[in-house]
Amino acid sequence: EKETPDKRKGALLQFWGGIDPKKPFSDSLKKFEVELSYRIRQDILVKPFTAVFDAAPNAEGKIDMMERVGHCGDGYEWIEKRYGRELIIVPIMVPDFTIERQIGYARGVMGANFWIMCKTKDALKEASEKALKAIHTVEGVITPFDVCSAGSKPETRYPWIGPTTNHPYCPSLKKKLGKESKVPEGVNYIPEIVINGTTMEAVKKAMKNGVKAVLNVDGVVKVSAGNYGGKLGEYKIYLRELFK
Amino acid sequence: MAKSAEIEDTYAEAFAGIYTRVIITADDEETLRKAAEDATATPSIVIGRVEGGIENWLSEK
Repeated sequence: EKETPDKRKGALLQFWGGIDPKKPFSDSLKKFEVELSYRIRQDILVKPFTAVFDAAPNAEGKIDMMERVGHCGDGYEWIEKRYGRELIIVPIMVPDFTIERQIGYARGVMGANFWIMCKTKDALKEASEKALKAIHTVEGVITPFDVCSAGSKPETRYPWIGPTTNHPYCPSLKKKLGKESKVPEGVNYIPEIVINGTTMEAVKKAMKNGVKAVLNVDGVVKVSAGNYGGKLGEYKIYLRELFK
Repeated sequence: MAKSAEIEDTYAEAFAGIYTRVIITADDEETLRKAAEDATATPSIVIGRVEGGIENWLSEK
């Protein structure tokens, strides 16, 4: 049984940020720090009696949480050593919020994915549940979208809003697109499962577990995956190689 | 018996990303669950922000 630093009920979470290849790494890190601090403040600090502790396995560096979270105490926050960790105590109206001062960060693998091509809604439901369960037996991974209904593509008529629907894979456009459609015959639903993980090894294991869990579900026709022709990402995870 | 689904001969394209991994704790299960779920909702890397997920639930000892 796993335990938590303050011996209360807990959850192990991961937060992820993108790395912009066109900018220095420090820019991406700074942006991540800002966005991470908002999540911690607006989703955790604002709930009574919560605490946050570092659990990074092999940190490349540390983010000092004083600047963007500690100072929510408006200068009245203080530092204490508890459980062998340096903690910031932030005084709030329901006392108090606690966060470990130095939170480790590292580089991992994100955006790994597979698609489950389904004939029926029942197949979609059963396959998704089995896939997620199998994935979560692997340590070090998360599924940021759980079951995603909206796989996307980078090319778009509307770049200012972000990525838009992967239209060749939309079942409702099969007739309209004709030859351009890539939806196999009989397939009506193509959910995407996205996996982020601390190491490539963990991600591949999770992918393998997830794919294996759906192959024999009645109504699952095929398993595929999303890629951008190798143009954007650093890594290619070949589905069939997972099983060699 | 149902025929096993085909695995397409293709690859998933993945990226290097920055992550932090934290343990959050709370006094009661409902607050813990809400905090974990709220903090990891809204997957937003594709729109230039952050995303997250719950890796596991931990027990007190």
